[in-house]
Amino acid sequence: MGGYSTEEFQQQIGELYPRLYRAVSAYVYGSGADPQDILQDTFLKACRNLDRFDGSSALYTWLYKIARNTCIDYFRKYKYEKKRSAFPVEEHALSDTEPQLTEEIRLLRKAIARLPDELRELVIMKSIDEMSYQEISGITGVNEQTLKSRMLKARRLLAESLKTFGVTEL
Amino acid sequence: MTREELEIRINDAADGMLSKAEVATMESQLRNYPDLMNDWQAIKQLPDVSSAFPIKGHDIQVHNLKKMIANEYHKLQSFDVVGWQWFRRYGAVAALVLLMVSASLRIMTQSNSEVNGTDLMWHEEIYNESNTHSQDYIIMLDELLPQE
Repeated sequence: MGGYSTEEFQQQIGELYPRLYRAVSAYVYGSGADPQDILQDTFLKACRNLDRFDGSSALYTWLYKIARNTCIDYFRKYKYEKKRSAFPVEEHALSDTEPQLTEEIRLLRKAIARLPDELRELVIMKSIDEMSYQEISGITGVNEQTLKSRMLKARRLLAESLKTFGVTEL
Repeated sequence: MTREELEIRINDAADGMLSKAEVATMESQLRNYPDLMNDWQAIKQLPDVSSAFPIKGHDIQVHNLKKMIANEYHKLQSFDVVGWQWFRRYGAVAALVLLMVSASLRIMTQSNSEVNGTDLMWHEEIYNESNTHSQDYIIMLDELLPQE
């Protein structure tokens, strides 16, 4: 089976799950999607297709691609069922169920959720998941120069949003 | 530096890739582009975006997921699932190989068929000079074709 046996894969879950959960939470924030459901689908798909993992990328990067595609499928299904725009940013869904979060964190999450899809995805992968531009390029198929240009645009938009919300520091 | 180069530098600085000296050089260049300087000042003020979604422990979810994957693995190892997977992957190839082998055997059999007690190759059977039918056919064609 490719680069990993099922047993080796299971051993890695403890390390991979929290990081991937964070990335998926950020990705689906405001859409009403449950990150746990998406991650469950992701890991099961990965288990069924472990023999296709050739080890040419890191296991996390491979899992991230599967998670990303699972999210995209969810949004497409949501769009078909609700006839809404591709990323359903529901105002009511932006209200967090985590009472310990500060107002600034909530506003930062809101600012990220409001970015255009491709910029939001990039901010999540770069600033939240701390991937390199090379890894992001491998996942998205976009060249590094374009990614850097988009990242600058994303930062400008985030700065504008946070200024509007009155958030200067956390 | 050009405007485009400065934009790249601003992003590199935001990524923490520049030394203090390089940032100072960049800022002196930004004085020529006030809008870019404003962008840099705003970006410098951005909070740590990763703090919006901190990493948490998920022991229960990880435990349940491991159990689920173990069950999935056992399901994937069942005979009918493995058999179906093998059929899907190799059935078409096996059918093609069988077809090619049977076609080769037919050709070999035909080429070795006996005519009048002698073994003929396929081209000798098709273009057999002792076949009088072909001569009859040629004569018939000659009669049918308009005479010049």
